[in-house]
Amino acid sequence: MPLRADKDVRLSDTTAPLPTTDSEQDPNLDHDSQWVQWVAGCGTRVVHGITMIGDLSLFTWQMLRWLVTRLPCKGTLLVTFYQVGALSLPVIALTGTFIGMVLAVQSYVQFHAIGLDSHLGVVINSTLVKELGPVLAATMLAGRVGGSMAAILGTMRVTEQIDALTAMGSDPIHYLVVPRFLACILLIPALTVVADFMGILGGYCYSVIILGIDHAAYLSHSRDGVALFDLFSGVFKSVFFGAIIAIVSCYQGFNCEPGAEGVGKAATTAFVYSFVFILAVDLFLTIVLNSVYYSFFPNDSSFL
Amino acid sequence: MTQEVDSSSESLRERIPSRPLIEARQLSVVFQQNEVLKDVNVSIRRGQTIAVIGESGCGKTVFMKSLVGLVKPTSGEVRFDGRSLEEIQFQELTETRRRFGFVFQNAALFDSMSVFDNVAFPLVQQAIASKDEIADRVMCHLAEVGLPKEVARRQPAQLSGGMRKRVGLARALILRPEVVVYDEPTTGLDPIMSDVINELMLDIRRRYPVTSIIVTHDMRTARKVADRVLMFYPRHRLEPDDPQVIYDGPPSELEHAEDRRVRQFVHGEAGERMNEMLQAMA
Repeated sequence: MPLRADKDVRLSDTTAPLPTTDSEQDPNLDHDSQWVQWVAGCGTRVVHGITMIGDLSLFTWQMLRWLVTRLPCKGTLLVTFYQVGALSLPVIALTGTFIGMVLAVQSYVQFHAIGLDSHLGVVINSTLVKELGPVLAATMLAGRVGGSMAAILGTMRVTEQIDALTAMGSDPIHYLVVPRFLACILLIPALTVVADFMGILGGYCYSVIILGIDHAAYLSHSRDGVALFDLFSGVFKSVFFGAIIAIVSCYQGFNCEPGAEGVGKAATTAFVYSFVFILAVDLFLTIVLNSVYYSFFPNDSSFL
Repeated sequence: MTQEVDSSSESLRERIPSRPLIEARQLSVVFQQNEVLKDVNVSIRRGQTIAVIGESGCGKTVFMKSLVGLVKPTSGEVRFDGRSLEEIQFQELTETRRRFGFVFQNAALFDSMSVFDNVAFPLVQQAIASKDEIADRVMCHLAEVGLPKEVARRQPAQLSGGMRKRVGLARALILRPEVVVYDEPTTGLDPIMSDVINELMLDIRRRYPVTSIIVTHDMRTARKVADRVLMFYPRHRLEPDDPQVIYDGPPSELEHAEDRRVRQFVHGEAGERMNEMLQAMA
């Protein structure tokens, strides 16, 4: 990806310091110039934000264009799929199990107090399937894979490997971003299902074995409390989360600042931005999916 | 008969104006508020070996990257084989880049691949050769740069600086480019390995009809390998109307250049820079 000298020039126009020549002579002018600087600073941040959104959109557009015109070779795809999917599996399964158990621990006291111990599974399972499973899988993926993507691509940028790709007539977005995007969007649904399953299993084991809840009642209520649409909504949302992780992380890696600090910053920023975007998109998609669901089943309540 | 052919080719050469292979016209590059290049005009003819010298931060690497379209000019243009890179469509620009071989400062080898895969990468991406042919060419190019067969299996992290540069050189040559661009090929190497790289560059020049652009601080490289030297001066230390290329001539004339700044650079003298630094410290 060529360095964008022209873009930098545009930015530099807005970041140029404003003249403050008479500020020392007149205190009113000094006050005014401080205001002007503050407004200019705000404007610069807004312009910078808009520029970044524009850049990110262009980056996504270029990636999508490659996605429909020419896929990367099988070897590149398989390696990326293995790194994103297979290597993330243990950590996602483990955290899913613990989250299921923690939900059981946290909910038990309240449910026991009102005598609804056997309904614990409904809360654990529906929370996991609808929200915690996909968000947890996405968070783990953003941390493990997203951070790593940003760091790898950032190092490649800093050590001129991305320039080398371009110089050799390959497109870095096609070669580096498309496989990562495909791996994230195709494998995150599977990882979400694993997180759901392990969470449900963890919750069940803790509730039945440790808390002594009757397993038949637990299973029966759990089955009745979780609809297929809940599972679908979780998996559906996870595809968007995967896309966010891949695009944000690769973008941060591609636009990494020089040096070790730049690479570290790219990895951190990739995780933070991915996480914030994931939660924001989660809220939006949950509202949309709930509206869709309740427009078809207006009186449905799966709890009791 | 031979004379006839010679005379006809001579007259043909006279009739067709020999245009430069690479041309920078009024090339300017600005990063943020930092003006790196301003109004640089350089023509490079086919077969020439050019050394681009100058102190750190004078824009040598930016100039070199502009020539292949890795850095987009803020104004001005770069023409390759008579066509402006700005006018060329994406696919054609990609094809044009394949006519260049690029040796990066730290070789820019792909960490995740073995030496063999690194050298084979351009061929694999092009899908223009069978597996056997790729293997043959990779081993042949590794041998050309003086690397034993065993190196092919190693990872870039297991190589010394000189070996990395030579692998980078083998990778740059694998597509048989028309232009080879070297970014500080001897930086960070001991004098003997530096000379090995210089000899390799000369050898490549003898063996292939390539145009070479060498960005370097190393005066030995410039003197030994180049037949023309361009010296850049940092833009921020020049007056607005001063030209940025302060020397353009043969390496043999560097010592006797009229411009004092050129002679200072060639002899490695701090000159007025020391006074500037002392003033800044005061």
